Amino acid sequence: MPSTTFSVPDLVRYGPTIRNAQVFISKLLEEKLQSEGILLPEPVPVQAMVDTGAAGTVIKDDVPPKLGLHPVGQVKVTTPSTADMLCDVYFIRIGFQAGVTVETTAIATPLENQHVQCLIGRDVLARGVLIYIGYVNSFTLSF
Amino acid sequence: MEDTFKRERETFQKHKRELVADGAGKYVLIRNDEILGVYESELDAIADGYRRLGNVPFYVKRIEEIETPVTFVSNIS
Repeated sequence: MPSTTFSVPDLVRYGPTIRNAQVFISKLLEEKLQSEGILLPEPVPVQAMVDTGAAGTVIKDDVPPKLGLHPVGQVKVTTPSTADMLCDVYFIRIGFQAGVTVETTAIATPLENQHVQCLIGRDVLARGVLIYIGYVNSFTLSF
Repeated sequence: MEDTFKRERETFQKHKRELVADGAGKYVLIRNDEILGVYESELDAIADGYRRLGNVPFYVKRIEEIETPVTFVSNIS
């Protein structure tokens, strides 16, 4: 199981943030587009954060259009200030450093006034390992 | 926000009783007014959607009597 470790200047202040993550189209769609002779889109660089308070993975809603992606579903979302907000869902691949990648559905939301464009939720963490070492400001992800 | 899947949600509601009776906990693939299949996993449904329809919007939904919202402790909107 490949793993990668991240160092953050201040885990309390910035959270478990990944500065150089990339969002790709899924392998499934890659194969479909390649079979049709369609050029694959370039990955979109994002700043991501591991969020154990998020049941699902989230991407900023301007990311899917950059990849030419269409939604594959819709879910109701509840936050401290909203209830049953309908959001589109996309199927994506997220790449971290050291070749660590994960495929997942992701909920598109505005993520306004946030320092990240992607939240790694418990749906992704359910398939891997998260090691959080607060006193040295580092964390490790393994999938 | 534009409601991408209004027709598909209406299609789900129209067939909800039989879908729940026969496939609760599974995933349904819907495009417009048509139910294209019921699958064991979300990934199976998405894979078949891409295979049959290509890169177009399609609606994959877990079959359940009452939809459980995805919850977030912090604000994301």
